[in-house]
Amino acid sequence: MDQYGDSLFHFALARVKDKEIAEDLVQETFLAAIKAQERFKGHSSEKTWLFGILKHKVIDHYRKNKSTVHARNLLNDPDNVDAFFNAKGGWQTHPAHWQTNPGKVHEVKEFLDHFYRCLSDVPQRSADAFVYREIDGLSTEEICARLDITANNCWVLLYRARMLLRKCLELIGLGRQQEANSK
Amino acid sequence: MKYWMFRCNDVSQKVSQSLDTSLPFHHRMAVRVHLLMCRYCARFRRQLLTLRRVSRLVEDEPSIDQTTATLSDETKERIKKALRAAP
Repeated sequence: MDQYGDSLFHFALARVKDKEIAEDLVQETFLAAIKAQERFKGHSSEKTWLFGILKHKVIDHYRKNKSTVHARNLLNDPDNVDAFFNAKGGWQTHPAHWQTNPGKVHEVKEFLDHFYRCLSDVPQRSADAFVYREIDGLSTEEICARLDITANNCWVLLYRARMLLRKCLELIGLGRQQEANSK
Repeated sequence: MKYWMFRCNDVSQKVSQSLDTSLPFHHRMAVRVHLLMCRYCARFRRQLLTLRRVSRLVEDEPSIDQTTATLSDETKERIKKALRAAP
């Protein structure tokens, strides 16, 4: 708590912009960590593990508090990723060039704000698969076991989550400025 | 769909799958050739890699938050109390 409390609080506050909610999320993170400590296998550092739990909490927070217009409203049919392609199998709307460089502090901060909001708007099972894979770093086999699905289903869920996430991020402005400049 | 005729929708699926498992050699080659010719699919791949990097960032690698806000002593005590009371 003394060692990681402030770091977790920074991260939570930056995402939810509310001191009390951020404090609650940190508290929930530690409580969840205590409950799940037997599952901590030491594959990652304690800090990475705690941040993983906090990220779940942040996503849950956004999921429960959908007060902003986001992907579900922006994407007409979040279950239909085929709509991203035309009849010939080409891109309906070309993927934009993202200028975000994860190495640059300010860009990452802004990116993360959108990232967690968009992730909370991805259909639950796809989002779960994505979080297990990309945030928790689980293998396909581990995700299949957790969600009780086949490997093929897992890849479909991950594909859908990635397609929706990147589309959501573009719809809220990522890459749009450069596209506009290039016209 | 034969692998040598992959279109953007097929390639996008294969690119996503390649982040989670190893593709068969002939699929890997077909995707690689497509990516050389299609800048949009190449962009899509870069986007997925960015999503992965951002997903796995933790607070201080690099420091993504320069706020100096910290948990107050009072809050820390409250959380510790809640932790002690946890079953």
